[in-house]
Amino acid sequence: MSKMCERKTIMIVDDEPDVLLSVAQILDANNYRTIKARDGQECLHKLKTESPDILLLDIMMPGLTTKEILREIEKDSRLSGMKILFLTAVHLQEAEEEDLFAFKQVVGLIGKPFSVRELLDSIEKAIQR
Amino acid sequence: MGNGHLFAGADAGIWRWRESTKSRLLMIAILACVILDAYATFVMDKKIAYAHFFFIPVILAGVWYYMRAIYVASFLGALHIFTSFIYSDFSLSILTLEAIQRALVLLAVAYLVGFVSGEHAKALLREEKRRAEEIRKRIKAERDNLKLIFESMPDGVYLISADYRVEFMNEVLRRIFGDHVGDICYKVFHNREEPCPRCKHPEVMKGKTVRWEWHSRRQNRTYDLIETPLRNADGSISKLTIFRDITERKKAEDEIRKLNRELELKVVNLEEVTKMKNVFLSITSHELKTPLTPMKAQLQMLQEGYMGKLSEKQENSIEIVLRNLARLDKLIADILDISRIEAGRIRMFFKSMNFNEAVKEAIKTQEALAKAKGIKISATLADLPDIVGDTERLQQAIGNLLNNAIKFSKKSGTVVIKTERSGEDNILFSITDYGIGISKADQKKLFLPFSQIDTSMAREHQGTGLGLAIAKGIIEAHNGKIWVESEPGKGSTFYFVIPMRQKMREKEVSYIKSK
Repeated sequence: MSKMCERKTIMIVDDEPDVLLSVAQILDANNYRTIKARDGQECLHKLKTESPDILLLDIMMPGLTTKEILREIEKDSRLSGMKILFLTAVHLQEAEEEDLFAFKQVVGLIGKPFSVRELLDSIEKAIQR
Repeated sequence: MGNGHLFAGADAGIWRWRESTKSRLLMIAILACVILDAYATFVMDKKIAYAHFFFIPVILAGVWYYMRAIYVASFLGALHIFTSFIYSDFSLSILTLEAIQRALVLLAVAYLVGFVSGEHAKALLREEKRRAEEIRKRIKAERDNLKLIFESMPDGVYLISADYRVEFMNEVLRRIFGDHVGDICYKVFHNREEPCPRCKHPEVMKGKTVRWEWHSRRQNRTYDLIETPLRNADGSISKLTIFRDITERKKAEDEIRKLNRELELKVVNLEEVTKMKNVFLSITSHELKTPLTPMKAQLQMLQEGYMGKLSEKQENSIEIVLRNLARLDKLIADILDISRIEAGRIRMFFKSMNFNEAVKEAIKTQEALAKAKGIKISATLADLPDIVGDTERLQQAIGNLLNNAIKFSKKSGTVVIKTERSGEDNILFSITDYGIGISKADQKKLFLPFSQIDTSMAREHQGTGLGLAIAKGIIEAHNGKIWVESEPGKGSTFYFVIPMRQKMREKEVSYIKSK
């Protein structure tokens, strides 16, 4: 089901091309504007010119760590309204999890593999926060 | 007449003065008598009575020198006679005769006093000798006893005198070294020409008891030595040494130490391996789940018509794939969980929660399976206060138990769930199925990973055999207990009880399996 109100922009960051593609397909079909990035570097680069409403962030990627990415985002006041959802295949049992959720813009977590419904519901909830 | 030296020691009481004092006093007394005699005779014309003073040196000599007093008496008597003789113009006058008489009395007194003193002194000496002999006999008896004990001891015992001579060696030592009483200890035991550098002899001689270990390179054996000073009857000190061959014990100790080291290494190794296994599993589960994501996403998009409408056959086909994808997903998650439980590293995120809600959610996850088998799930949930626990994990545990119950129930059967308070502080959960039941033998293995009752059943019920093991891990991580009551053919009831309050709230807790 696609939303009839204004089109929201969602940035998807995942190092797996198929995941990126699949998520983008789902979101596109549901009337979201999507921006794709394959790693933290590309994500931050694109965020310089874009201000998405939602950021879907995979937390186990090569290159910049999740914390580093989040710290950079925090610094940019332009992005303060952006909500962040984690995409994760690993059940987070490290203490790190608490640290990650300490970032104010992080609003939730979607476990992989997620269902289409789970993805869309999480995004809708995030938008409404 | 006796030996002055011998008798001197028998003096008693106030007469126990130093020899030099006594002899000086006696000489003075004798001299005084001589002077007195000369004075009384040639100056005082024998007009005073003085001869009785002669008894003083005579008595002193008698008491101190016993029969030697006769010499003193003889000298003084002779002097008295002589002076009287001179005074009487060298004639045998009455004076001279009186003098002779007095001299004889002096001699008699000297003899009497000397004899009595001498006998007394001899008696005292005999008594002392007797006592000394008694003491010596007693010491000897004790020593002999000690020697008997030493002889019968399995340890080596020897006595060394202050000058390193062997005074005694017991049987054990004689067997090893031969009989070397009288020889020098360092020669006998160590074949050295001088005292051993590590010898404790000087310390022991000072009165110290020493315990130490000595390794004999010559024999390649280790000994435990206890060396203590022993005071002899004559006041000298000997060194008593008791030593024990502890070579075997040392070997055993070394062996134990070696085994301990190996064990430590193994433990460290094991810890390394476990760490590696956990890292491996974390990474693997991530890697395994990654392809599942686009697979599931694509299939669901197909299913929901994102790629166009599907035929019924196509929909069914996708349903089958999705179902198995879900199985695979669960398997990966379960394997990860069980490996964490076994490593004692599963984490609980405790917070305030409603237990009955968790039960209801778990029921929801199994509804499809229950419906497919026509199983009715009935739940009697008591009014429970909120508890502290990990909602997700408890849901998982209850879900696993329910899944089990449904799988092993007969078609169109019932599964009954019950929650109630147990005592002041606990919650009791029970789930009953009326299925095939579990034998006593199988009950023992029930909560072990991968122990489905038999492999055919496992295949039929599409289980992994991990559900119960994971449930047990979760319940125990909540400081609870899980168990089963079952009768083959009749059904089974699984119970678990958990405390309502956990020690840590709203914080992750690391569950260590065995401490």
